[in-house]
Amino acid sequence: MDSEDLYNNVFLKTLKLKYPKTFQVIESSCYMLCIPHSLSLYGMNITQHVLESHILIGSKFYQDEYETYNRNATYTIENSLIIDKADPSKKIKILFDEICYNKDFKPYRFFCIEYPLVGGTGIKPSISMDGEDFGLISRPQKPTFDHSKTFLLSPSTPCNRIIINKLDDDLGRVQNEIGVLTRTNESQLLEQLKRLHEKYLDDLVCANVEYKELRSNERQMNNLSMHLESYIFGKIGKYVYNGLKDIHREKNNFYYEKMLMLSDLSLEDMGVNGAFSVHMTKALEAMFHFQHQDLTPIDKLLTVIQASSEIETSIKASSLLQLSDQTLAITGDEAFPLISFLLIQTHPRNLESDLQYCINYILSKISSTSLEYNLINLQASLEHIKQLIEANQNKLDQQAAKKVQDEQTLLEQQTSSSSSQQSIKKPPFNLPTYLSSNSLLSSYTSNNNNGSGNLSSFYSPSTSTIIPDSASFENHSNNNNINNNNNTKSPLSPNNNNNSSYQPTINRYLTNNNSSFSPQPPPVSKYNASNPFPYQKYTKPPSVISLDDDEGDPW
Amino acid sequence: MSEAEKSFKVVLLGEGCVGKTSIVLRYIQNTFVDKHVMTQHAGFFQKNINIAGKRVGLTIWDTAGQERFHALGPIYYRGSQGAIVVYDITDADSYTKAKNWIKELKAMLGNDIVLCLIGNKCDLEKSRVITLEESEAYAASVGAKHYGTSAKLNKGVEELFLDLTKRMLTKSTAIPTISGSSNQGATTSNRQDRIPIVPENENSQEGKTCCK
Repeated sequence: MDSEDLYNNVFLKTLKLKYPKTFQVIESSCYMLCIPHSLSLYGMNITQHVLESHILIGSKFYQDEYETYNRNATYTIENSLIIDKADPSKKIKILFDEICYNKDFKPYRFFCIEYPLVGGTGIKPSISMDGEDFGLISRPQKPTFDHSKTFLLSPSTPCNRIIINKLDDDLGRVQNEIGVLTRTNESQLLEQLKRLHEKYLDDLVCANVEYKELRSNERQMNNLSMHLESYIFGKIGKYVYNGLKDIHREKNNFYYEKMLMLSDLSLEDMGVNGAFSVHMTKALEAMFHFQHQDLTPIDKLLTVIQASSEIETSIKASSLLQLSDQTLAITGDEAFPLISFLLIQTHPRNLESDLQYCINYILSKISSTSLEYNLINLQASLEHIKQLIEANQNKLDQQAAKKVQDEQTLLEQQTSSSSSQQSIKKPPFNLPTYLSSNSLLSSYTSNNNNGSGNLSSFYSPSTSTIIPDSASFENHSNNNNINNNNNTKSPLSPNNNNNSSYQPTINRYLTNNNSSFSPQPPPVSKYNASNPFPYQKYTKPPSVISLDDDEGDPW
Repeated sequence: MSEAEKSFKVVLLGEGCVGKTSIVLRYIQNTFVDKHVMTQHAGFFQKNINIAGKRVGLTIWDTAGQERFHALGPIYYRGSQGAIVVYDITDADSYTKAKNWIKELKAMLGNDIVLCLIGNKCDLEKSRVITLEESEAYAASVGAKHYGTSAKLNKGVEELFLDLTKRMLTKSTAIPTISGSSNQGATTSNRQDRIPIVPENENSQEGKTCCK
């Protein structure tokens, strides 16, 4: 979406409110209206003469030639440029256009242009124009805690500090009240977070005159909402995410194991043109960040978008270098199968939790935005993965059976070797292809060499034999249960340096102060045949449409 | 955004290679290329139009056309106020698939969604296998409107979206909400969002479905 919202443009507002008759003429006669971008209006005196100089009437004789309403100048339009016929060096770029229909449904157009045709001062506003949005509240480019903290606690908004301190207290109180996050109290937490988000958004607006003025601007308010949301999840995101990991542990384990087994599927197997394969490397690297637990829900979603955009960038780069005759593009046909592929290759350890985190804990309004589309794509990808699991069930069963057999053999070997006081050597990684997660995993882990990664838990059961690494369990003395995987560390969720400055009291976290997570091989006996639980499947929906009351938008 | 603004979600459905993406690119970017070069993330498009002083924001969702992904359709079309179901006039199979989509949309969303049936590739008139009369009669029978388009020649595309928008506007002002107020735009909080995307039989361990 273009960053300029024409309906908030002062030029158009002036025309409509101060000169309604002129606007009616544009509508009824279907004239073209050039609207200078908001950034170019600074210091400009919008008079009737100026307005009329931006109304263009098509020539009866020449195509692409236009005369102004006040007949002061003639312009031609070529390649999205408005060129002054009297002075061809004067070229003004058309940024975008909007089609309008009058009461008789006859079309006319608004052109948003880079600079005014006449009357511009050329002075740039002093307000920072970083980012694509113009205004006091810039959209967080990366919705991290640090970014939002910097914004919210900037010296220009001193009142915010008091509000944010109160928010900190409330967030601590919520954690204390909820305690250990479970399936039962999750909805309570969500309600409380929504309420806090709404309340403190209001407080921020009330406390700042500048924000108050922007209240009617939905985009600006949504930017503020995103900043606040990032701050909230910077504070308690880890608490929430760890809780979700516990809640969805069984599904997480199931998907993790199945994705490992499916990782030798090709792009074609997944319904995507195989030509995409050469463009996947960077995307896979980006996708690895998806499972980091320090991310806010929106940030998680953005990593998926980033991965898709890495594919697009790679395609553009290779077409520029003319490395490929084939023009590839991610259309609706490929959008979610590509994400499925990336997910399978990177096999996030807590896929269900990641998805639920994104679906339920984005508090800002994302409907009618590309974020919503990407969230739906993520959901569709998981459904696609479920379909793949079902379609490959026989193969997966065989692999599972083989795994059990191998494990039994190895356990026997382990028993005999431990009796002879010999250490067990870990099996090497088996790297199937360059696209395999294993190859990227090894590069990732070497780049993130924290010395804490439990690599033994990451080889694929489908391609190598698993030995539950007894040494790794010993490192976590409180975690002898293989299923209780909360206190171990994942090489794919590296280091987890908490960038939050928030230091909750010990009792706030209770038992949930686990800073990291390790993917342990799930108990094989539990997963060796078919799905251990009935997962939701997106099929033909039921014929009943609920007419229940709408939930209020948190925003 | 102004308060008067309404926004509608429109979903594009149809068999693969019938020209769904071409139609939307023609409308949004006024371009047609046999091999698409995307300037934005394909699959999601936004367009603002102004009708008789009312600002309308259209978000257009392109979907995967392959049959293997048909079951994922509900994820995409839920919450939609409009659907453009496309078939290729030279491909009878794509017409059958389009009819299946319409049947499903009618079953799932009833009259809440504004339907358009689009016969694309009208530039290939000589190879037409679906007659205009047949498709128009079918569209009328299901309360949809039929349009013949050619994304390649830019024929019928703008008219299609204008008509769809007009119909969505009419519907949104005509249908009162539960609270009795008029439907303020079509945000995601409207009733279509309540379509439960759950298996018909929760107890099914095998996840078998009845849909084809």
